[in-house]
Amino acid sequence: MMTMIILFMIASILFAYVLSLKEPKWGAYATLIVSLAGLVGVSLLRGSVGETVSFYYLHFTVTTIGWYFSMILLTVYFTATFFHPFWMDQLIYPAAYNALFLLSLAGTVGLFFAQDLMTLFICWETAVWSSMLIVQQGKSRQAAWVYFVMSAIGSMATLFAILLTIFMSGTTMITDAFIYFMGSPALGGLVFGAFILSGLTKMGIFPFHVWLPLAHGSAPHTFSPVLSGGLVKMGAYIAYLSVAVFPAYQVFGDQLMLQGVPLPIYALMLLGGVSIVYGTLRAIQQDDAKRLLAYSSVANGGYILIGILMLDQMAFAGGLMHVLNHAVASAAAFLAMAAVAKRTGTTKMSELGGMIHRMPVTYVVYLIAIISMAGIPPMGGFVSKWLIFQGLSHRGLIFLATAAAFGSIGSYLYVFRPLSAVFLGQLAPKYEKIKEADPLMLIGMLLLTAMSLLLGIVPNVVLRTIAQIQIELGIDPIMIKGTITATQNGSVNMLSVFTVFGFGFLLILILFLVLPKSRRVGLMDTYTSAEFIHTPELLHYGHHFYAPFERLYEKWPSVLPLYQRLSLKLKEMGEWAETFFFHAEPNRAVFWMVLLVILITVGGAR
Amino acid sequence: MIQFAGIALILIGIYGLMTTKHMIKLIIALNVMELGANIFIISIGFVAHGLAPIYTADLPNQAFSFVDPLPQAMVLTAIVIGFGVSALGLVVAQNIYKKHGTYDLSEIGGEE
Amino acid sequence: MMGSIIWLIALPLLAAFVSVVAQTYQYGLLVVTLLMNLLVLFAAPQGLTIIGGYEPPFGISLLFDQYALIALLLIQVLLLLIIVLARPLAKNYTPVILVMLAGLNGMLLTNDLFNLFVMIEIVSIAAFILSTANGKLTHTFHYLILATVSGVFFLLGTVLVYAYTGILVVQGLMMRLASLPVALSLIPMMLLIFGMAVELKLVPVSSWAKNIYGQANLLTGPIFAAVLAPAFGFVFGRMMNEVIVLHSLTGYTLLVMAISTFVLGELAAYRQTDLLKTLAFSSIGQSGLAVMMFTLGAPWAGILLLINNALAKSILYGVATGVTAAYGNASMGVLKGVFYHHRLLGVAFSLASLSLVGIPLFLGFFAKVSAVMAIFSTGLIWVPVIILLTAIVEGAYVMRWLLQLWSPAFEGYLASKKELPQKRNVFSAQQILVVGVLAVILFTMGLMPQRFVDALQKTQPAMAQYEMVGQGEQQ
Repeated sequence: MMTMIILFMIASILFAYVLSLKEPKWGAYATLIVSLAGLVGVSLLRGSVGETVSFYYLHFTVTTIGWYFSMILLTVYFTATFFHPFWMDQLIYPAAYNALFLLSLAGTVGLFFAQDLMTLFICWETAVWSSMLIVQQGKSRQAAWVYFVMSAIGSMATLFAILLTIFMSGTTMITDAFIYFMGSPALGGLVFGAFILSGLTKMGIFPFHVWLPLAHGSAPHTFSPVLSGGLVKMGAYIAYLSVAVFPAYQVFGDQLMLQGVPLPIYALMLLGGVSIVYGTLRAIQQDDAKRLLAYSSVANGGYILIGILMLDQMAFAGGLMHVLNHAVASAAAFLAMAAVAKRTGTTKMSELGGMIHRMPVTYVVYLIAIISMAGIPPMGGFVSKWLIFQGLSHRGLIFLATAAAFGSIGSYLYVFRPLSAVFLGQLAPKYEKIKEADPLMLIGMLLLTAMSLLLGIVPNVVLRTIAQIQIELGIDPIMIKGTITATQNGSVNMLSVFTVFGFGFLLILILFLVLPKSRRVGLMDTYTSAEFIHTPELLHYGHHFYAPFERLYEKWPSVLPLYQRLSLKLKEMGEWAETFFFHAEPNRAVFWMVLLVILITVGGAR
Repeated sequence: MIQFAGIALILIGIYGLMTTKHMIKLIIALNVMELGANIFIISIGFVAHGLAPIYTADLPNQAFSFVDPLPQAMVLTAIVIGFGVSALGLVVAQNIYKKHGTYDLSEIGGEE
Repeated sequence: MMGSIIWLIALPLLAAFVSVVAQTYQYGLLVVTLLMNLLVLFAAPQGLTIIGGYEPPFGISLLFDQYALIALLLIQVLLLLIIVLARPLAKNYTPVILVMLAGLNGMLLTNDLFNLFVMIEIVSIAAFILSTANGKLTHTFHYLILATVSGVFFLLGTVLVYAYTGILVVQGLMMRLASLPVALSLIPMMLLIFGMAVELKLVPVSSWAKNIYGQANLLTGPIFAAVLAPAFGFVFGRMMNEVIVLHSLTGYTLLVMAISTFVLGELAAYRQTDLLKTLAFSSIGQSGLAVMMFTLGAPWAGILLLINNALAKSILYGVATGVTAAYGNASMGVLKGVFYHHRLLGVAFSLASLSLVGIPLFLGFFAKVSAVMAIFSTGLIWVPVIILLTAIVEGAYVMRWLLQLWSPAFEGYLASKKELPQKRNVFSAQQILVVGVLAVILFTMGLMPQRFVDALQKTQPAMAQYEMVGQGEQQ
């Protein structure tokens, strides 16, 4: 089965490329079919946990966690492909786009099923460079470059850790190799820190988050959902490996413990907490909807990191579930924005408004997605955030719990902004004629919406898989019974929550239908009589939506200049080297050579 | 003794290579350096009161006082190579002169 | 008759003389010679060839082993493809290229230290003449002075080795030298190292490479970066295995020189805005990495790096010089989006850059991994850290070029055909085919890395023992 999937993937990449050369649209449909086939194929692997397959120098094995992550990624990839046929004319290299899209898909799935460390790294890098070449087809080359460089910082650190592990332990198997570091905390700490770095950069944890707003914001609209909902989750898998497979809690056993968490892991969790706060605050500021969602990915990456690093009964389950919830919600939100951008040509919130009148279904998709993203019941996001919060407060990690709570409340602020600025409010005159998104796009989006809802109503379907992962790891599984999800602090029955919310919704719907209708006020319908409006967009209330916040942020330091300065310093060092050692006069080189000869001779004579 | 003469010539050559920017002078310095190296090589095989390494009838009497022939063969080759390089260098220098009207590298500046 | 390895030197020399007389058939002669060399390479048995019946240490002998086979094969194949690629230019330099080929083959085969000096000088002189094809004579002069000075150093080192040991046979010379007291062997070793440093582009003496590589044309660029550079790398590898005894002083000096070459070269490349200059500094940096591997006693990693770099650079230089010649300039602004017109060249270029940086699925990745693994076994954990940190810088500038060359777009806007430069003719179909063949070779090697690395590691036992840097003085 595995072998078939791998061969199918390789063949499909070539097939999609050749087909796209002929006619880009056909290639786009091919990606749809291929990713659906991949989804079906991988879902059939659920029963064959433990099956291994070697493909040349790559070795794969089926694990529960790998299956879980692959399913998430394939879902996101699959739903994004519904948009492909409509974007082929915007791309300058459509054939390359389709082929690289499938290649990055193959890379990510390979990563989750990797049996040995080399396979892990090879798949990881393949996914990175192929997605980088996709991002370049968007609005910005700089963004793709920053994405690659930040990823390279992480991957090189991970490569170092992987090679050191292989060298030290003498084995490449992921499950066996890390055991070597049980007895050596110093070396283990080095390897742990280097290994998890690629996960941190990929998830956009605080000092490494700079690439997310750039790459998510300017990638092709069809690929932003995959970046945020899919590829970022590769980082979560690395975090999982470095805490669950790498015996981090045992290696750091003699370190200072903070509420039962060793200091190095706690420090990483704090970084996660900083990411939550920072991502939330920055997201509030953005005017571009895609950049806003990118910053929200930074915040949610913080939740996932904290949850996974806890490695306990509740928060760990919450973290793993949040991977799925955020993937679904974020992909849906990005796709909704892509649909809006397809019709209007922009993602700037201040230029949009009133889309609900023209694109009601897209509005619903976005609404459900942000409810889930903000962690409001009865959507999936609530369950996972609730579990993480339960875990944190149970362990008494007060700072992180505060950060998590702050992020939850702050997210209302930022998810509400696109909702009101893009979809609600008054429709700009130039968008009077636009239509609802194409049915094919709607199918893709509605699939995700349905998933968000279902995850909120019956989270235990997913938690069952997570419980099995926990059992395999030897930690207490999350308690589930029927529709009840239980923790040590309390339990929740999401079905009844949904019923309550459903009744509330119905009540309001009835009121809405019964009560008299409000009068629509057009954007041009202003009180300034007899005055001609030259710039209607300035009247739109999405313009300077959070003006107080923007004033507040003006003086805030940013992280990006730090990297820019580093890059400048490297260039200066290069210039220095060029003047000293690569100068275009033979005399200097002769001087250096003679100087070294004299030094060695004198040193040798001593 | 003769070794020191060779080393001194090498050092003079190196001094020239480090200080002048005149192309002809650079080639001269290079030649001085090569000359020093050649003298140094000859001195390696030198044997006081040695004979030419030619096998003759009264070989057994003089077998241990041959001058080592190998360094001489090396020097011969090295001279030829040095000649080739100098000739090439001079041609290059002359062509640069034709183009820029000067033999001084610093006057030509960085040719980009 | 064809079964003797000596034809590899004799044939090109003979052809060089003939080509001066028979000017009309020059180019054909060059191609035929290279093809015959390939035949000889497969027909000749491995082993020691004694010339003229003089047993070593008296006469000159040629050593043809697995190591030499890899190097010779790489060089004949690459040179053949390059002269087909740069046919119009190669026609004018046929005798030079033939003499250079004889020198290169001799350099890689010879088992005599003085003969090695002669061969290096022959190659150097040919390289000087070849570099005049760039049309920048001051750079040639710069190169000539530096290479000759280092040649004198090499000669002095050779003579001192002879004076102390009485032999010049390369094979096993290390054993004899290691038995000498440190005070005696230090200076000849140092002179030999500096004698090679200029051609290896090690840091304080690599200034010539910036302009010779940075102003290269379709002929000189690929030949310098993909034929001469790996050839000298292979010779250095041989020297490190058979001749040079590293004391802690020379060893650490060499290591520091190699590391700073790698780091400073890549940093200088990072700031370039000219494609050819970027590639020039990248060549300098990569050479430092290979020297580092040979110094640390990991020849197979060094060989892998040399092969990867040679193949990648032949493509990169071929495409870059071709595109530069067609569009008139190698700056980022002019070449932006140029691969839209030249898809096949673009794909080959991308493949080569990905391999050069060491990205998985390509040969360069396996080279980098074996390099790092080899260094771990020497116990120097900080060296891989430097290598990997520099690899980030390397990846950064290579990717920046790749992204720009593919995207005809202003920053902040989607790529559009309006921004495209006017299409110019870069290569003929035949030349594109050559670039394609090179790319296929590189890609295929990346597909079967394990078999390839195994074959390389088999060349290991044929070599002498290594003395690791940092293990103290030899007794």
